[in-house]
Amino acid sequence: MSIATEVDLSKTQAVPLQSLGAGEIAEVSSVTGSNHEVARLAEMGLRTGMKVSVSRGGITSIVQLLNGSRLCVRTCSQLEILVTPIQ
Amino acid sequence: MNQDDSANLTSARVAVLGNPNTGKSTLFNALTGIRQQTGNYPGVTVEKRTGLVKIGATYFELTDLPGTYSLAPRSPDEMLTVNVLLGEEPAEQKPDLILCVVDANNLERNLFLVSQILDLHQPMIIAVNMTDIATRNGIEIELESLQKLLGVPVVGIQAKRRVGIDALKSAMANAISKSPDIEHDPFSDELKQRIKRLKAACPDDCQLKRFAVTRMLFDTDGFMTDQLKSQVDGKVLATLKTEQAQMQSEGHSIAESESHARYNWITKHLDSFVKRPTQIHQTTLTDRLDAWLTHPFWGLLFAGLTMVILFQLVFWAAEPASNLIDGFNGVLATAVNSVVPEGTLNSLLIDGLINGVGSVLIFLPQILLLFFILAVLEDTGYLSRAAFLLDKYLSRIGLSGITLFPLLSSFACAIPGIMATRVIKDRRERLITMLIAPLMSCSARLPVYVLLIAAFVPSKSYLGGLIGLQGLTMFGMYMVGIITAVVIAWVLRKTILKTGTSSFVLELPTYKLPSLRNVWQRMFDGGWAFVRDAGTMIVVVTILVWAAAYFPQNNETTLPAPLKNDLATIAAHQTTLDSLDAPESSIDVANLEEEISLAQNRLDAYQLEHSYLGRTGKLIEPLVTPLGWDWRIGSAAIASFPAREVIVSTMGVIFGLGADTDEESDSLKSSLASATWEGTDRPLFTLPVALSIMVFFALCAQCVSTLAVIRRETNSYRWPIFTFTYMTILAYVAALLTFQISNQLF
Repeated sequence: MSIATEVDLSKTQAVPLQSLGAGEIAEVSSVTGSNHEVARLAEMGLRTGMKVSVSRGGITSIVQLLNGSRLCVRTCSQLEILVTPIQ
Repeated sequence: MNQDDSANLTSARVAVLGNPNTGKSTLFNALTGIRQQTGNYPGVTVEKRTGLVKIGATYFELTDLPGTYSLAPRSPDEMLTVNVLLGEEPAEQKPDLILCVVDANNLERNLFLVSQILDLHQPMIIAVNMTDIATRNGIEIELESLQKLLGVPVVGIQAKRRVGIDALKSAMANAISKSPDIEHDPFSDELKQRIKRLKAACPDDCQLKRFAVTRMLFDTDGFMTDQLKSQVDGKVLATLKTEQAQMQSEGHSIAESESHARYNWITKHLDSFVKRPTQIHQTTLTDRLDAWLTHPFWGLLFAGLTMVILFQLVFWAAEPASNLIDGFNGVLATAVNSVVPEGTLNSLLIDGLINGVGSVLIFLPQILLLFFILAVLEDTGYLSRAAFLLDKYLSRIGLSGITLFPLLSSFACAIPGIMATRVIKDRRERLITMLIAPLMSCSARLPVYVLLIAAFVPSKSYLGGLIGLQGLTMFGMYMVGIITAVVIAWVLRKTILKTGTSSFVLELPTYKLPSLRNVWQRMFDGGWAFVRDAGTMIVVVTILVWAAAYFPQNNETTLPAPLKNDLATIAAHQTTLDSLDAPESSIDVANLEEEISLAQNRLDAYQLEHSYLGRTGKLIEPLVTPLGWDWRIGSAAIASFPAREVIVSTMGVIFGLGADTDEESDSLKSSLASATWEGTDRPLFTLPVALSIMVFFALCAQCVSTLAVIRRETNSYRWPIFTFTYMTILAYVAALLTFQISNQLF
């Protein structure tokens, strides 16, 4: 599923990525953790400011990036991805 | 580029790289055909694949580098790609051309790596692959515009269908030794200034000023700086510290700065060469398949079925082929027997060489099948979906979903299981999986369990016959391995392979039909790597164990009187049999043959007892007595080092039944049941002893093939030695506890 680029950007409070449910769209507010992990995610396209759509939620989730990539992502105590749901 | 004067041909080196799932290997196969070689780079676990293609009068030697998302390595394995590109890898020269493969369906992300490679300012060509799928998805790419933007040749191809390959070859021939037309610079003014200051601090003779300082500026953990510091000097390192400190103080994350800069540059130019469908929420085939295959219920059901099929195929479907190889070994042994007279050479050829080579080839069907299935699963894009589904369960023990397939395969046989860890990209996770894979109860343990359970575990049943004690014991043996593997994985993660709680990120590629050529190539590579690298070690060890059991040979004059009688019986009966003219003779041939066989078995048992193997068994008896074992069980355990299942036939020899006995043999079961400690009437085999042996074999590393494969896959002797040591200690302690505790209970 492609992600709409022109959407209502009225934002709510940032929440952890894994709390999003399937079908929700959000903007990445921050990626914090070890430089290694943050850089790795950024190289794959998951970085602050990117819009993502969640295909499967949960501890291990599937997110689709604006560029079409689908990533399976599990965060941990040393890597936190906060997103702001877009309503 | 090298000139070969004698043949008037030239040769050129080409490094092929790209993101994972871009069809890089498919293109490599399409270009090189069967002219490929595989090997290992020294000191790392990365496989080296090279191939030749002749274009005009030039031979291009292509090197297929591992798929990567960036040139920012954080480990020696990842550093290899950078070293090859820089010509820093031992025995590797700098490539004359870099061939970068990108996926037409995901240019934005793929161009991130392209942008990094352009920093090298080396001759480069870009192959935009899967243009047919992109067209189907409504994506239009203007290759000329992209070429103009990047300043290097860009060719559209469909590697699987071999479309555009000729155009690519022609472009490769033209691109040799031609550096990019323009100086690539995707950075903001602020970053440009920082890079400029770092370049200014570089010594004049630094060949890679731009690339080296850019990589060091965005280095997040010091690894890259450490690797490249020989290219620069102390002045650059001091300037680097200042620049990085300033970036951080100004609120710019070093970890994200490079990605922000390069992706911003890509996004800025994307519309000039890509037209994407305007329709939003377009549902693709991948969306429709993912709705089912990643579903919490249906997805898991499908993954479960896939694993059952995988397990069954590796476990059962390979059996006929393995039996065929085994049968062929038997035919070969018979042929040798008819040509080479009985004696040392005969025994060396049959029991050492044929047996050794046979024990290599017998695993080949399983390995080929496993690689076939894994290649299909990976090529279609399904493997990463299964990894997603299973990740939440495996993450509880510190592993990710992708480790399930290798671990599951190990229940059939640890050898293909360990080779299947190639699907795991994280080096530490791959190592942990390799180290615990041999703990899964493989098919070679089955004969040991079957023999001892049938002989010593009472045939009781519970819940109205629903649960049997023998079946329960078998289940327990499997669980011993699984639970221990979980604990060992946890301990390894907390100690020598410390990783902390780690995240897991895996790309889910679009679904596509597998390339049969790729599947075949991976199957062949896997099988050949096993035979070539692990096979040698397996054959050598098998011959060594044969020698230990064969030498020194008994001296007939010093044999005890009953065995001298046996020798005389064999000679006399053989003479009688040889002199028989007609089959209808009144002499009972079967009875004579039976007596010869029994006499020979007693002689073999005596030979083994006094061989180096038997002597070693006696030497270690004080060590194995606390496990409830005597020297005979100890000797059988040593003899089973080449393969666990050998213990059954070795016990057959030791207990005077010959080497042809198997786990179903009633005579072996009764021999074990009636065996006593030497010089006493105390039974040797009791339930606690049987349990102790089974637990030992559930956890020990008695399989030279497994150790040889670990050495091959890790490219180091350190890890097989570590595996053998930790598993042997573990097996010993567990067997000791099992015997001592169960001896009190039963």
